[in-house]
Amino acid sequence: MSGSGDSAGEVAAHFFRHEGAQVVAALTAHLGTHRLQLAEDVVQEALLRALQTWSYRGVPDNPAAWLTQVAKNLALNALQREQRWHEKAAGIAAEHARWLAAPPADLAPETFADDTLRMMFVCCHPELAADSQTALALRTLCGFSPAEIAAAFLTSEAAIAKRLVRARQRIRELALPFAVPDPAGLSARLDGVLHTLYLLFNEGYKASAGDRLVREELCQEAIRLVTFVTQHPATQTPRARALLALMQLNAARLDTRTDAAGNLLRLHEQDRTAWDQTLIQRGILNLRLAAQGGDLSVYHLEAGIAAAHCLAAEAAATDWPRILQLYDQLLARTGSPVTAMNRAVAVARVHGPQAGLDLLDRIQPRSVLAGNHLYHSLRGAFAAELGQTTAAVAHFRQAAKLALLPAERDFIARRIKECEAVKPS
Amino acid sequence: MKKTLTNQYMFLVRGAGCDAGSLSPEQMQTQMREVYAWIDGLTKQGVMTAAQPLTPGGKMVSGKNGGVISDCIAAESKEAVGGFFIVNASSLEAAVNIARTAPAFNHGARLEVRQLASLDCD
Repeated sequence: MSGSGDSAGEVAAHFFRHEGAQVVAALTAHLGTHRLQLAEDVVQEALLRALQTWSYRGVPDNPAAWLTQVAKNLALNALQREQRWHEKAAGIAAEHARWLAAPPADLAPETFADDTLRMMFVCCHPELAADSQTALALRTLCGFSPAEIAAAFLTSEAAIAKRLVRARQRIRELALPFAVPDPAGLSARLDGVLHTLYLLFNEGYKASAGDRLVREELCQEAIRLVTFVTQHPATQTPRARALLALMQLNAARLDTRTDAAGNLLRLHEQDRTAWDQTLIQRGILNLRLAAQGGDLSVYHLEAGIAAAHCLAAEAAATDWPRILQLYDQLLARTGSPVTAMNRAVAVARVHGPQAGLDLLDRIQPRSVLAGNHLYHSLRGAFAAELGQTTAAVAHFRQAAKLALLPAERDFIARRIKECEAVKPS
Repeated sequence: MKKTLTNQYMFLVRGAGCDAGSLSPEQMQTQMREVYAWIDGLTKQGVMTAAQPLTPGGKMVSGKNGGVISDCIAAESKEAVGGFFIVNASSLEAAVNIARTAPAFNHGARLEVRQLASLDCD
């Protein structure tokens, strides 16, 4: 015990979450993906034992080893109680038992890194539904509870629990291997992993949804996991690094998108001196490193756009022609109406609000955007800039009808008030 | 023997695990930090002199010649003892006041405050 000194009760930030997730991965590596639930259950119990034991005399010298050993013992007990365990080929059972009973000698960081990477490929398997992948990643790779995941996704704990059960069932049915894919399939599978991490980050990045602290943690977790991907020899690709850059450049501005009262702020209203310059520098560096190798992914383009915003000391200094050029390339890649809508902002800044408005009118298929409050807010903003306040108010009212969250509705209400303060056109 | 101004009291911690089943890992860590900060503070003041957790489970031995051996109260039970602290205090009231500051109460625990008996006759 390191019971002396004043830091005896201290472990690394998020130790319980992250170390727990690592032990789940280590157990799954040895017991198979069909026992993921067992691994999660015994780790939860081991963490509880840690809480109850460490709350008296402090944390043991090697808390990770302590936790692993307790989890292994609990897993061995559980397996021995299982009827099927005895029916299994004695050799396999004995091998599991040997590993579970052995002291955790395999605590080498590389082993944990390999297990975590393999767990990523299980959680982000294309055969699992997209919303299951993000929920499972948060549960299994990050150690969030179903209630915490539910808070992040603005849904019920029961819905998340159901999603997790379904995902684990699917993993069993498909007998997903606990392995990094073969070189032949690695690239496509890695794209899937990156996409899930991208969704995870965006879930946290949404300016207006859910609890602020939970959202920040989601972003931090996505950054942690994609950092991990960029550091592992099997997966350190330029597009992984571009995704990391994108996340860092956006996370640098996370805190400034709302004011103290929680009101949404537009980019030009934000306090740029509060942007996290360390994170911006890291993002820029990663984007530069990602440029090696000639791969140009959507992450490269989105990170390039984020970098252009981050590098403008004031809103007026923003390099909009550069941003528009990046949006042109992005739109050519995605062809998505939402990309086209976002591009309209750059078009308006370069060619004027009328050009932005015209462009919004031409986007096809319109049906995708008709129900999007941002689309109507943008039309309102462009119309207001053109002095067409009556039309602007009508667009904002339409946006208000579609916005679901209070922060969004408040934002739109303020825009309407601004328009009404100006004499009607 | 010279009479000391302080006595020793034991806090038996019961039921600390009964509410913890649904805690998330992050909540557990926050809870541990709170509890340990409390211990740290009391240790620095020289009030806390010993603390020890017990492992869950165990056996109950009873009956004639100790012939009845059964399982202990389940760890999740409100009655299960999870560990103890020993503190210096001038009186039972003072000890109770120290016990009342324990953050464990926010997590379902109960503390039984008992004075360690003295074998001195003065």
